Amino acid sequence: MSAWSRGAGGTSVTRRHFLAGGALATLGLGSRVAFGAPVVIPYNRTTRRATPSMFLPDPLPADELRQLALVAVNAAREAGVEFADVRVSTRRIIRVPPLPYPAEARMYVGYGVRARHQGTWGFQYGNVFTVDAIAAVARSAAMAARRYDGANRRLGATPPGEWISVPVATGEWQSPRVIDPFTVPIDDYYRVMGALVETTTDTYRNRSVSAAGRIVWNAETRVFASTEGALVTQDTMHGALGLGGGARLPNPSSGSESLDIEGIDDDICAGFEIALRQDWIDHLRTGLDEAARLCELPIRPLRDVGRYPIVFDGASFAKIIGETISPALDCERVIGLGADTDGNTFLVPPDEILGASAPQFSPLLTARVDRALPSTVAVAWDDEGVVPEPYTLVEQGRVVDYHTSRETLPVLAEWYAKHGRPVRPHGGVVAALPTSVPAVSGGHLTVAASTHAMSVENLAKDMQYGFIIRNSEIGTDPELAVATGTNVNALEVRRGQIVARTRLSLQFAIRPTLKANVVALGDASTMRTSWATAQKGIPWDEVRTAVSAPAALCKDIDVISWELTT
Amino acid sequence: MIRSDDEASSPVLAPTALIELGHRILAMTTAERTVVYVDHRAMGTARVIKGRVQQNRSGDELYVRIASQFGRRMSFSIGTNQIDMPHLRQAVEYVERVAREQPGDGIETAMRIAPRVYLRNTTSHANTIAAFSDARHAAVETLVAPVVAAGLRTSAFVGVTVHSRLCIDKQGMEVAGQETDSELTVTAWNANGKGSGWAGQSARDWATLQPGAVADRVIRLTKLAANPVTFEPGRRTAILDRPAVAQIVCMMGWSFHAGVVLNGRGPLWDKANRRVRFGQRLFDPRITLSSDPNDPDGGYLPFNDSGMPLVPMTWIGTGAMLEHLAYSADMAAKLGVTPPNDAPNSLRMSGGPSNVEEMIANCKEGIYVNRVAQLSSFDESGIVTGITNGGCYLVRNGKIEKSIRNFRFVESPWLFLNRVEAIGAAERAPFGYSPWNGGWPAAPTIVPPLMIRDFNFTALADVV
Repeated sequence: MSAWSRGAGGTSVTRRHFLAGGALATLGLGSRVAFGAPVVIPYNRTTRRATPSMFLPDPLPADELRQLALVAVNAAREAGVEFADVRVSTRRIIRVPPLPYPAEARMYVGYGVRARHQGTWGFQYGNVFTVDAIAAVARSAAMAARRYDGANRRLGATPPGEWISVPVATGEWQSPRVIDPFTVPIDDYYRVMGALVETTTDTYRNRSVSAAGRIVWNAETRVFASTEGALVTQDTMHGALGLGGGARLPNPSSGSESLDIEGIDDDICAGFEIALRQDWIDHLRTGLDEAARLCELPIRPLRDVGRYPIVFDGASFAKIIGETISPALDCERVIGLGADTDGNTFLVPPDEILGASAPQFSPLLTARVDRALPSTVAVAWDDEGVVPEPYTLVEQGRVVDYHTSRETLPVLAEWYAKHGRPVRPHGGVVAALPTSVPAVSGGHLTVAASTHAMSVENLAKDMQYGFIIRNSEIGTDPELAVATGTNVNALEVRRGQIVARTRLSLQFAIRPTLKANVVALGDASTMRTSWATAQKGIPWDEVRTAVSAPAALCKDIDVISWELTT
Repeated sequence: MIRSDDEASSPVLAPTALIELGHRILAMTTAERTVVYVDHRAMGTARVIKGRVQQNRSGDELYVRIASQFGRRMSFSIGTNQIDMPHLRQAVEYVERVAREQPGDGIETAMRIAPRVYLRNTTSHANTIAAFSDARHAAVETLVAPVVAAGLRTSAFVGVTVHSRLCIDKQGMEVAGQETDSELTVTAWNANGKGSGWAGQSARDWATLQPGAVADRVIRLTKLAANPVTFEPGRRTAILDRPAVAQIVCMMGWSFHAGVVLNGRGPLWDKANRRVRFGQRLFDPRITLSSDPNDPDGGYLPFNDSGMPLVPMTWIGTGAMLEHLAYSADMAAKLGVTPPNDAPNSLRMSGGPSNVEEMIANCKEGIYVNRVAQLSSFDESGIVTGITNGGCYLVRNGKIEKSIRNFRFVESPWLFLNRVEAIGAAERAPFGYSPWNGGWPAAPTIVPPLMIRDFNFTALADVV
């Protein structure tokens, strides 16, 4: 049977009853379906009492996912490869925007098989959940590995490093949840929204401030198995209360612009219980208060380009660290996997960097990685079956470790051994989708905050003239040499006081700036979490790293103008 | 139906099979309106890193979506990837059961597409489908071996893809098509790691790709880039080869969306006079921008994912005047505009009589840019920033004088297309890694090399 043929299809049908039109209707769909397109759930008298799970097929039972995974592993083994692993997954998603927009439910299913022969990989994916189909995919991955091993020999390619062995992983893990969001009536989602709207209208009637929100939950059952005997099942649930708001601010050039408030947009590893927390209303009110206050500020175009002190709020500094230091310490960049794609790193060779007498970054910077709960990226095993361990990446400016995988760890093995450290990966490998090639991620990286009381305002209090950057996006070039922020929201500071809103672009050399220009960090109250994303490979897979960081005061940042004319 | 190349060994269902599948599903339905959409995609790719095949990836994904509507009740749809009869029957029964319960405030026309006259489907090639089995694997070695033999470090990519799509309903819409695509790209670095070159080809028809020629070009460019020197950035004459022009032009397509423009956004909205920029000369008058499903150098399916016919459009026409915006079906009906169309994601820029060699010969001092990368847009004005990558050379007195370090640039095509000195022949450009343009494969973009005066190179970029 060719890798491309589809199996006859399973006929196991789970039945679920749901309330529709006042009568019980039957959802007679088999659980092997993939809802690529969303099921739109209009809000009406009937559906408001329904739950998201009523609109979706039952997820395939974990036992069946495991069976499929083992079929794939056995097929690859029989095809004669030295190693193979598989990720099989079903994922349900519910997304509830504010009314009048309808809720949407989705289900994705898929799998990917990775096979290694003489150090060469083959990878094949699919989404038809039959024994025949997944076995054919596994055989095809094995065949590709063997075929390209031949090509590598003919090309005279350098053999790859050793495939690092790890303890064989077995077991099951479920992320914590009290209330399964897929069993909560749609109405309850809108009640949460209603509370938000009420907060806005009560407090800010007739003000140019508004709030909106969306609630999203992801629930995934993912099975990992390998020819080494690994077999793990993880059941994770992530919720995101995208509850924010903003002020529509007048702007002479564009008419108006939106100024986001600091909402609640963190992805949280939990059930619907987080939506019922009372403190988020206070949090939103604080944010809306700030937006209303900023509305009163005049808008001033950037007066002059130059080098200025800048306070990056926690979200912005997290973004900077996530787009600079974290990828620079990605071993996939070290071994050149990104040379023609997302880029290289200046932190090479690792043994010289790790043994350097001078710190690479400001001594104020200490960064640790941990995928343990309550992090949103918490798992019990990564997508190579490795148990994640916490590790320090940067200690008072010194690089002390890298993000690694079983594939990339050999570049550090000698240094680890020399320093008496166990040669094992940290468990940071992620396959964004089961159909994605596993890649190194930064897990959840946290920059230590100052232990001295230091708010954003305190960081800016000694500024004669400078800026506070709020929630900005920072981009970098592939070599991680220069960081650039374009047209970002900023607050102008004069003699320690915020006096105006503006937009500006900034650019700085990453290495010297993070070494010499970080003047002070905020305290724990300024910590915010942001996401950094890398697009790895062709076609690219998005690999996300959660980053938490305090606010930071940096000196001499180039503020630039890119006004163009014909 | 529209004709396409069917292929017995195809990794996806052929259009004829999709139509048969669609009829099987429709035969099960009882709703007044049922629309069936099917998308089946497959790809096979390989990446070479440091002269070694490091990653390869293949697979297919199938989605069937069934939408049903009873009377004026809202439509309801679900999707499945199981196409055996029992599952399809269950899916139809389920979707109709829920559709009957839907509230009655739906809009009937939301599911109707008219007129349903489709162009021929010309985007599928049997050679590309056949390449899934062997040719794509062999091409990796043909592409890489000469570069390795030349003593250069190399990364490379070889990819083939095929996509079949069906839109069919009970009211007479029946359209199925297939598109194939393929690409070869290679980056090479000198042994000292200081200079690099990039080359590639992409085509709907695999048979037209020439890995040997791509390898030859990258070797030539890379050897020329052995010891790049620093050259001051600034506004300089730029000779942009096709891979550089395409990356930038590809980012212009969204600007033609009527929903963007009529909301007062984007470069096609005249903010000063508060109107669409119809009747204004936007570029050098030699330049036009168009798109055509049957473009011989690229093209795309002649219908979108809703079954709406897509037709050739001239967006920027004679005299560089804005001729059309892209109106969605709903918007076109509301405003009485014909024809509706999707915003172009596959653009052709008109070519001219020049070529890169002539541009270099006529250049007193300038920069030849082989390719650009890492593009991002500032805002909705159309300004983009990026870096030169894969070959950047100083041109003096009609010759390439030396290789120079890469630059960051900040420019807007809506501005620099007014500073055109010379235009070469338009051909489809390869993209390689370009997630900022939607990932691989990027929509076919057919552009000429351009010679631009006062191109805004803003800074040096530490990229090799």
